[in-house]
Amino acid sequence: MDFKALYARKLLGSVRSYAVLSSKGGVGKTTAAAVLSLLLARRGLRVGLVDADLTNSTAHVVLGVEAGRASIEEGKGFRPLEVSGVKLVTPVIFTRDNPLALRGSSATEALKELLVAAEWGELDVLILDMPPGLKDEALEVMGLGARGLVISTQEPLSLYSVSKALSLFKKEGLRAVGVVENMGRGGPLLREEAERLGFRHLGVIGFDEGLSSALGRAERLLETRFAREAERMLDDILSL
Amino acid sequence: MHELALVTAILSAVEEVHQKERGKIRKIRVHLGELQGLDREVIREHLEAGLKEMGIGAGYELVEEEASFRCRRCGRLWNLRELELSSEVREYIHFLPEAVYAYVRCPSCGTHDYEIAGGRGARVSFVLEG
Repeated sequence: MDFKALYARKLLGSVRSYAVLSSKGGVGKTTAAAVLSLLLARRGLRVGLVDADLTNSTAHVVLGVEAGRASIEEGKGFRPLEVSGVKLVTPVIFTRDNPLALRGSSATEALKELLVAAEWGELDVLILDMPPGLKDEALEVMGLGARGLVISTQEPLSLYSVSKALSLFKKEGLRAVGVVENMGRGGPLLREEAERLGFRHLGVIGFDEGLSSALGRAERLLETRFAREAERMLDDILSL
Repeated sequence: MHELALVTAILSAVEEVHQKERGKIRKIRVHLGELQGLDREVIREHLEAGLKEMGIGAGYELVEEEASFRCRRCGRLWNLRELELSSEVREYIHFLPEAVYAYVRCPSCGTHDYEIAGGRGARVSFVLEG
């Protein structure tokens, strides 16, 4: 019996849990996961963020946390790092910024271990920053109950890929709250495709030229256009 | 302690199986993989206390499993005793066994592309009545 999968299912089912996904890399998924976490924490919610992109962990970079040098605090499990009210769990705490290459089943085992072993305390929301594509980790956490929150752009490759991803979710009965369009420059294609497949288009975040200079500083991130436009979608995301 | 988090998860599974199998658990086997370096006594103490609190009279045993690794490139097999790991690295692996891939390479060909063939960490199995 996979007791960790069982426990992870209970954890993901006991809070609002979202797997922030993208079909292609480079669409702003990690930034979206981090900023959404900060916004929710600012509202007073108890928020956990898991960097589930285990072989390319960068959530700590976005949030400006030196996870590779953090001391490990042990209580009942290990204590997540805290930044601006967000409890962050990242494998970098244990890999110390050394490269980590994992095959599929190792990645899912590691992800379950992190979920079980973290001393989360009371949570209202758990956000998982997933690796790009539809791989073991995404299938595992969505199968355990996390709802997908898909980040996409309107670029042709992203559109093509996200369409396939949404079709798969529909066929497999995997729940997704909807699609967030990032770096939007106008145009209906992503909205039309999402709605054609029966998913919500939650809104558009425009291209934010000031975003990259805010990366690594949680308080600055909250002041960006990206954050302002993401905030408009929060009520929808939480209600779905 | 990290072991407490694992025992909590194990007890959660025990409860689920206990309900599903209507009290027919005869024995709970907790396999302790050597790689994760779990404290056997801490696990025993909290498992026992948890089972008592839940009113589950099933027996239990803790089974040690030796850690072993197999290289996917050259086929080399090795075990934990062949590795010299600092106490820091052992601590990282204690919390996340897959962290081993960040620190250990195949002793023969040097690749990181190997698998943990056995003794990774904690797992649980049940022996049922009948």
